Amino acid sequence: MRSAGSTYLRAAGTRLLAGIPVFVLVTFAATALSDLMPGSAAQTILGENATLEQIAALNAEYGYDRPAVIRYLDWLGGLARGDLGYTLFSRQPVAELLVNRAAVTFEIALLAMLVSLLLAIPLAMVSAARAGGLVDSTLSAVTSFLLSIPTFVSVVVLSYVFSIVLRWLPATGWVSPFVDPLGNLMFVALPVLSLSVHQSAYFFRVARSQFAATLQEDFVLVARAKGLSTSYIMLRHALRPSLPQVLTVLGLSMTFLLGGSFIVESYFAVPGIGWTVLNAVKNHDLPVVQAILSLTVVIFVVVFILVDLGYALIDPRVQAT
Amino acid sequence: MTVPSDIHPLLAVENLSCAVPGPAGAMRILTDVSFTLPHATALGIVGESGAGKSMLVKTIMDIAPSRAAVTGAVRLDGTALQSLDTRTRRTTLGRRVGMVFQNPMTSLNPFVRVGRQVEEASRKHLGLDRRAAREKAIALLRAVGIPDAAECYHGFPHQFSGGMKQRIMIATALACDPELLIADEATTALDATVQKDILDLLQTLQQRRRMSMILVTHNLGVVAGRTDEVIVMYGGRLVEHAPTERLFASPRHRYTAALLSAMPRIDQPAHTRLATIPGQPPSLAHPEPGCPFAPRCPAAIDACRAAMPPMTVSADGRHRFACHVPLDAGISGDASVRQPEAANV
Ligand SMILES: Nc1ncnc2c1ncn2[C@@H]1O[C@H](COP(=O)(O)OP(=O)(O)OP(=O)(O)O)[C@@H](O)[C@H]1O
Ligand code: SF4
Ligand SMILES: [Mg+2]
Repeated sequence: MRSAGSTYLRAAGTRLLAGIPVFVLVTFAATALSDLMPGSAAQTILGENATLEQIAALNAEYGYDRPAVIRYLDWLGGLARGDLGYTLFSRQPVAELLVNRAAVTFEIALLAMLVSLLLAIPLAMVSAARAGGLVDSTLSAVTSFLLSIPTFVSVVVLSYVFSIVLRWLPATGWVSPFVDPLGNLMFVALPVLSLSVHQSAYFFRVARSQFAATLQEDFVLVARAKGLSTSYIMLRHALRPSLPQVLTVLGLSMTFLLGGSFIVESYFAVPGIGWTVLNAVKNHDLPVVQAILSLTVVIFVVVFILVDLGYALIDPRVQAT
Repeated sequence: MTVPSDIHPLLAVENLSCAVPGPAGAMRILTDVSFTLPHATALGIVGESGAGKSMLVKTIMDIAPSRAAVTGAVRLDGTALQSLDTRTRRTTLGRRVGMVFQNPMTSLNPFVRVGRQVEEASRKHLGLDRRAAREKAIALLRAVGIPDAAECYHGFPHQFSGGMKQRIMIATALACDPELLIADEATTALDATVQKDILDLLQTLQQRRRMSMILVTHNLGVVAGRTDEVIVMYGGRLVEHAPTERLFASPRHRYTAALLSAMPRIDQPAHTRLATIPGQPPSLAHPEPGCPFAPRCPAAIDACRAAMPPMTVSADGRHRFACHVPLDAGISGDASVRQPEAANV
């Protein structure tokens, strides 16, 4: 491993550059498409009875009468200065809003990821070690059931059980972890669990089939011929070769977690980006929509960079380039 | 270390059979295989592809697929392995028997450093600490002919060529100073130029360490000069077992004779097309009654198709074969079975 650190840095840099065209494409599309959306921000602000003149005046004030390309360049210029504009209604800086809301979504998504992995990986190992056994067939049945439950159903069921029947967890709301760490965990518990139901079942499926495939490898037969115990073989010989596949799915599941956050955040009234973007779209709050879209693109580029670097860390044959 | 006893052979295989459920009913992959292997002896196991050679050594090593139904006994130094609990059996085999597999590309775990793969068995079975295990592993890597053994120890398998990988595998198999080394087609996947080096290495190690060795191959040329005894397998059965020179000089079973005549010979010009034995290996799912080789045997008589030939043992007890119409003892089978090759072209 000669100067592995700098190799990884360079590799990450190359991929970030490669992400720029995607970023431009998506954010420009957001600007351009807002022209095609029914209604307009001005209409929403001024209400049903606004005259055409009033609307035109407001559009001129906000600069919405300019062509999409100009508006986009304007936005890009702002972005370079760290200025993402102001929300249409509360006139709050968008950048500040975004940071606060994204932190909430990240907390929930990362916790859901962690919970799911901690559940799925050990269970998948146990299952695959005795493929076709009682544990394996039970877990396989349970996970196909869990996978068939849409998120909006698990959200309702979990909040009914844990907050209405058992009264263990608050049904809705949110408090910052810096204000009340324990309270924060209580509030995020249900959103995290709701996302983990589907997620852990999915990770289990992928990891179990990957472990089972790894156990068919010749080197596992060699390890058995050496008289090594099953648990040693699982941990030392089967775990690492099975991880790249899990990592791929981990990256892809970011889409699920972000998508899932729309449902979960609006149900539990958690002020994350899912909840925010839903409101922003409803209100034609273009600066907010624009900012969240860009953030999403950045998240995806970063996640795929991390996944790529993860491959290189896991598999000694893969070079970070 | 167990003291080798003179009373028991190192390995005794008794009526070993193995069946695997298949789409067309149970496949009898091994049928009634029995033989013994003395201490410090090299044994070749020869047969066509599908003869059951790999399954035989896997069954001995207790690594046959779990759905395989195994009957019979395997004794190591007199101890019936089946009588031990699974953990003890695996540990015993792992410590006392080393195994080298056919494909060095897939037999080493690409995610695990070479050093760990070489030393993990000795750490577990011999209780060596990290340092002792590393010294031993590096010494073994040197002993199998790896030039930069210390560097190799820290490397990953993909940094090495096929031949080097197989040397690493051999070092791995030697980690616990086994009394028996099993090499299943250990050179088949390698370049022709490397094959001989690896075979010579195995032979040298066997002799220097006074181990027993089982060389599994479909090529009779591999066992010639490198083994004391040879077993010939056909359709999951042991059909002939003899001291190596004797098997080459005067095979008794017709299948062995056919194999010998299909062998590439030094006196043939290079690139002569190999004579292969015409016909198909027998069906394991629906075995015909009688000798499994009968449909392909030029000497078959009605009795061959009617009844399984019993195992015949020579007067001195050192040559066994199962054939109704054996070749004469002392006459090279080569000439008498060499069938009109022209007729099959
Ligand atoms: N895991 C398995 N499950 C079912 N059948 C198997 C399995 N492994 C081998 N067989 C069958 O057992 C028979 C003997 O296979 P085996 O691998 O022992 O032959 P072999 O003599 O080693 O041949 P080769 O020279 O090709 O290695 C073959 O018919 C094969 O199809
Ligand atoms: S028993 Fe008969 S068929 Fe079988 S090998 Fe001998 S002669 Fe041929
Ligand atoms: Mg084989």
